[in-house]
Amino acid sequence: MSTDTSQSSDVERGFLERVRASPFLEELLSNRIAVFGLVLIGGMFAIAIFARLAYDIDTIVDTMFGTNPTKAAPSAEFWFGTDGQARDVFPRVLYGAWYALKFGTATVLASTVLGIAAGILAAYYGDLTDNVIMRTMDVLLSFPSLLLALALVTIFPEELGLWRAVAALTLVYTPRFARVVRGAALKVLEDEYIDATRALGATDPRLLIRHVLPNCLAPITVQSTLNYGLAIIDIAALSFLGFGASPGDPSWGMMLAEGVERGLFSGAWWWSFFPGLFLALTVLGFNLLGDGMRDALDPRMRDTVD
Amino acid sequence: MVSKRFIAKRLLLLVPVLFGVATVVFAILHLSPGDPALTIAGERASQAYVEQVRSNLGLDDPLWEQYVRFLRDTAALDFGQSYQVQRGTAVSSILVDRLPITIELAILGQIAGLLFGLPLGILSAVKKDTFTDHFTRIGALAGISVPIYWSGPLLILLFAQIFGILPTSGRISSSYFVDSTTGLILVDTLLEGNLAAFESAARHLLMPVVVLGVYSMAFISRMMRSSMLEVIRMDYMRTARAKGQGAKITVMKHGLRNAFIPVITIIGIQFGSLLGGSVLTETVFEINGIGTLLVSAIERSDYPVVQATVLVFAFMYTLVNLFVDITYSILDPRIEQ
Amino acid sequence: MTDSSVPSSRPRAERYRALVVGALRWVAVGAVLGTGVSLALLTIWSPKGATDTAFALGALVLGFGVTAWSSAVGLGRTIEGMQERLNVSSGWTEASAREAFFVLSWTGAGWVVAAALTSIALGV
Repeated sequence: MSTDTSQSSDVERGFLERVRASPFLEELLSNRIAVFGLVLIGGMFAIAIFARLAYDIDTIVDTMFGTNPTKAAPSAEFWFGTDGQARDVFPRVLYGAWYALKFGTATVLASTVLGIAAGILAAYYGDLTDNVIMRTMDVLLSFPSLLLALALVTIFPEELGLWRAVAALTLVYTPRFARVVRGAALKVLEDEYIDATRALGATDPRLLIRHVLPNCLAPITVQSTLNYGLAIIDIAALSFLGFGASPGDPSWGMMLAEGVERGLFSGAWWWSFFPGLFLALTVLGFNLLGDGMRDALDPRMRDTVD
Repeated sequence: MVSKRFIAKRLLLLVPVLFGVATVVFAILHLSPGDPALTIAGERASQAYVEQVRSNLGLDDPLWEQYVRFLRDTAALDFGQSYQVQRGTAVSSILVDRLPITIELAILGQIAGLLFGLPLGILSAVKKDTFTDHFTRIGALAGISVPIYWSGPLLILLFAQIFGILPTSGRISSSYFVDSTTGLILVDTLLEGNLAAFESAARHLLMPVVVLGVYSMAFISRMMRSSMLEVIRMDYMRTARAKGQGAKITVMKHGLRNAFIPVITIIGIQFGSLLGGSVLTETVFEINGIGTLLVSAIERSDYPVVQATVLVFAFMYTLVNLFVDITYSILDPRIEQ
Repeated sequence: MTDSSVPSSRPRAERYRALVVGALRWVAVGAVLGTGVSLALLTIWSPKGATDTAFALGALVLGFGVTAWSSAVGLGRTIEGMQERLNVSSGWTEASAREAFFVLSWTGAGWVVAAALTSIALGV
């Protein structure tokens, strides 16, 4: 990232103050596309929390044969129709937002933590350790995320369900964060200010956590936002292929898998259409916001490679 | 230009690449908790029977012995027999059947992506910060955001079920029987001179290719835009523009060539994503290519099939990148000098 | 395009000697790791389970190292050229990648051999 951190005063002031001083938020909020993304994500979070509070997971997973019609088209009673197990699709799609955000958040958080650890280790030890860690990260980064996830997901036992997908994708996304953190950590380590603090007797790990994290908060936030969308889409893809959610789970990937396989060809399009629509809107929201954040953070980057 | 020595060196490097990939796949399969003996014998089989299956497959030997055996067989191009997906069939013959299906899909998808992605990227760069640019960029972002396993079903719903003009799934209508000569169905039907069958095959391929192509297009147009902007910024372009319109056109051509070079490299490197995308596309459209083969082999712990399929992926990936590199050194003006 | 090995003023024999010494050093490190992991896993699993898992972990390091090393040698010039053209730098150089994966490959090799020898010693 080319945000200027070479001056010690910047390091001292920390991220939040710089954001307030810089036109970052102003720039971001003036970007109508990014704001649209923000609204989409905000809406999904609201839906997720509403669904979590309003519905009971058991009644959402249970089959409703006898009570509801099977594969009924959308109507006033069943807004998104019913599926092959006679379940009402509408609450399931809403609950899917909770699933997507819950497991997406877990993936992003875990890979951020691992990435911070790897990046700081690499920057701190330098030389061969740095080289081996970062070149390994580069190789992992060059793999298409879905194929790498497909390879890694098999290592974790099936009983983990969706957490299996979370574990595999955490490893897939870690390199992206490691790279960002290492860059920021190197800048801080080079900084004379750190030498001064070190002379005063601050211990090294404390030093790094205290000064590196505030400095790479901005790029980490952008990376997390972009990765959020990717995580949600990849978790759903793994579930769609049969590695993740169990049958009946209200996850968008599983609903799509069941809906495409058993509903689409017999005309029950609503079974897979609505989960997919919500999934696409959520991912689009994160991508629009992430792109806007990157532009606001560093307008020059918009013109070069992502 | 491209020296023979360069090509020979790169082909020689295939040996360590494939050795490494084979070793990684072997390791991952044996680290994963799946038990092929149990899958083959069935959940309800007796303990003794499971043990017997295990011993027949040689899976009870020390792992290093299995590894040595696996390397020796693979070096002799003996990939063994499928455990489960097509039990008892030689893996090599399964691959011969299925590989061309995926290659055809991937190549057509890549061509579609290039045909639409390159012009869109150039347009977006030339009209930077105009409505066209914003529209194209949001379109590209949407293309990345919409998952294949949703856009696919959507197309099926629209064109196969509501309008009824395209078939839903498969490769060709069941009323045609085509001999597999090359395995590429468009080529095979043409070789037989059966135009009706060719049309049926093309109609079956249309939606999968579009779905895969949109994904690839989104990526390529973003790359092309970045690369083009970088070239436009360069000094000689500014000079040419100052000199007037005639010079501008000549240099636009030169500029385009320069802008293509990094994009071509990236196309080679992202060929893997295309394979990932074809796994999903094949699943949606029920196409029996190598992607669906890999997924079902992983699900059922079919070691020989997984090993061979991944090796074939790695082989194709390396060859595509060699091809890209040769194109690159032909295009790169610095090599010509 | 010719061989992209780093030009060196040192005589060839000396360079080879340095490579062999380096490789041996990492094989030794790998052997220690392979034996250590085998013995550590022995406390929770049977001898076969422990040495098999240790072997598979070593094979993972070995395979990853060799694949990445050969890709770096093959694609190195292309990637460096592309970074130069796009005016971006990710810190990736062919030399650094070769060094990193040289280490991983030989460590993995030592690890795998040590795990296999441990399993023979335990009579698996």
